[in-house]
Amino acid sequence: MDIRLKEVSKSFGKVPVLKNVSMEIRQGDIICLLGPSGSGKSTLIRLMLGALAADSGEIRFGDTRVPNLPLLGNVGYMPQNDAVYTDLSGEANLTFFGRLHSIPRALLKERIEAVLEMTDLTCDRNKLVRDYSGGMKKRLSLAAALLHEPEVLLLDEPTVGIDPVLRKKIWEAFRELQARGKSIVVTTHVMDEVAWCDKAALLYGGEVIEYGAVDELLKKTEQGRIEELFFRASSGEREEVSS
Amino acid sequence: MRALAIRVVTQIRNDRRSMAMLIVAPVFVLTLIFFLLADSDYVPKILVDEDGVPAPLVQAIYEQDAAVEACPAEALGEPEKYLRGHPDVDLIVTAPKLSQETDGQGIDGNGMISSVVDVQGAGSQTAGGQSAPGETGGGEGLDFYMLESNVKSRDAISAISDAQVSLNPSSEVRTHTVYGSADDSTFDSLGYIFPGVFTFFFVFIISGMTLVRERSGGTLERLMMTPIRRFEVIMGYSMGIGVFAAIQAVVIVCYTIYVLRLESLGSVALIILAMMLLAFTAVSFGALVSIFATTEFQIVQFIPVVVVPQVFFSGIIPLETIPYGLGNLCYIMPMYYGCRAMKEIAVYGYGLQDIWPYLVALVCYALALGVLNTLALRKYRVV
Repeated sequence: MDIRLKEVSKSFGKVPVLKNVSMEIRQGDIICLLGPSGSGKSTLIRLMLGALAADSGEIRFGDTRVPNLPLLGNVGYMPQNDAVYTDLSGEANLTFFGRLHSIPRALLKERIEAVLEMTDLTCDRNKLVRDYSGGMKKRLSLAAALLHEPEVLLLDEPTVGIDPVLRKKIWEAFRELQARGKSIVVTTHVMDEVAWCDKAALLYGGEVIEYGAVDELLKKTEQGRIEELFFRASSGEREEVSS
Repeated sequence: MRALAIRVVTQIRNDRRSMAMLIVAPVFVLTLIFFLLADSDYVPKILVDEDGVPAPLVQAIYEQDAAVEACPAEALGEPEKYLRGHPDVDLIVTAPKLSQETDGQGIDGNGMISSVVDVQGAGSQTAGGQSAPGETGGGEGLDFYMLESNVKSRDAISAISDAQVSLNPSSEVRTHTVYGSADDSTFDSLGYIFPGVFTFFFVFIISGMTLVRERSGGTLERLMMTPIRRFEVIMGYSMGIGVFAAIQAVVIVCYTIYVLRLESLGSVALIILAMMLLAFTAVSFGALVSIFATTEFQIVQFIPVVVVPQVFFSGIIPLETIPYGLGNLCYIMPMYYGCRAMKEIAVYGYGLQDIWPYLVALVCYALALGVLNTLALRKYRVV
């Protein structure tokens, strides 16, 4: 399922958050949305989910135009904060989200085992989430997003606060999902993680300033660091203001 | 929908404080109110002017169930001042001295002695009746002095009336009530209100808190990002919290009737039904308020605005006595319907055929709020 964004704009009140964003995400791509905080990454994810309506422009998943209710069954969403229930055990959280997606009981059991294994939470499954550490909550949140094997994964900062060893494991899992034809959109402000992605979109001030294959983008830089593209954008803006 | 309901139930069960709030707290508060409003064995303290008040009456007053003493001279001279210095004295009974008869007005203006009941009006009939034998010790009737008009001084006054009646049995008034009996305690006559008030109050808090926590924690947004329908979310919630609301209604009603012995003429099952409907309305009410709150603290801030006024319209104050027709506001308050239904079942012994309009009103209320809540979820998802 390809995702196409066409001239999408969104403002909150009078403050424009996204300006004319157009991009295409091919099925099986891992895309990373890079940008400083406030650049509109989370808003873009919310628009793609249909949680927000765009002011103008359109977003399509394959032939289906967002917002669309059944489409949500094919999307895995992981919000930026750990949106899990602290009064429930880890497993009860997963059971709940699984039922919301109407996963049949037997399959759900199997899926829960799989995602717990992947996020390294099998031993802590019966603990109440309020006794979890920050990293564990994050992993549980990720597990909930992967549970129903969605075609598209929209993950808002999925690896923040996760230790390097486990982070590597999670990225390897993303790669594996990609091999099975899933599309993954990840927001991050950790520049190192770009290396794991096929493509990167650089958001700055509500605009996509660069979008392309990661190695292509790196060629545009002098020292092979993706940050340079942001520095260039911010200095360009300053020049504009001063001229 | 079922998944959501089951989750809410598990969640509340895992949170011991919520459970305590729902079951233990109302039982505790009801018990406290039961003792606060029960008949007390308070013995009023009365000082009688033995020289001024007719001797047979003095005698009769001494026979009453009160701590009666002869009035010391200083109390006779300046009863207001004496009362201020002796707050344990509930009533001073004197015969009016001719020179003081016009003093009544002046004393009224005195802040502390807020009320001086002068029996010339109300009690002169009986007092005059037995002072006829010629034993008057001054003017006609009696003067009552008290620090303030309260339950204690009213106890004292009724002891005097009883004394007067014992001298003059023809003046006895016998009270006949259609419902209840005249010597019901405050709890007997108002007790039916409290189960309704507490059911509403505690369910409202649980419902509002659960939903606001879900909103601020981001889990509501997350669950809205699954293919669940908006009305299913609201229904699931109402069912989940409704389970506890129902349990609470049963516990409170049974506790009030079987443990605190509040008499009910009608069917207990019908009372429970009314309480449950009121509780379901409270669930929707809490959910609606949670839309306007971003933190649990703000839910608490809403209590004085949306819950407390309802208490006054629940039947604690007779609605007909409220000025400017404001009593009609009761029709927009769910608590009125619940408490009124309970009163008519418990006190009047009415059945379903009489009280169904109240129940229908509660159902409509819950449904209307449910629709509003469903619409409000558009904030999280445009479809």
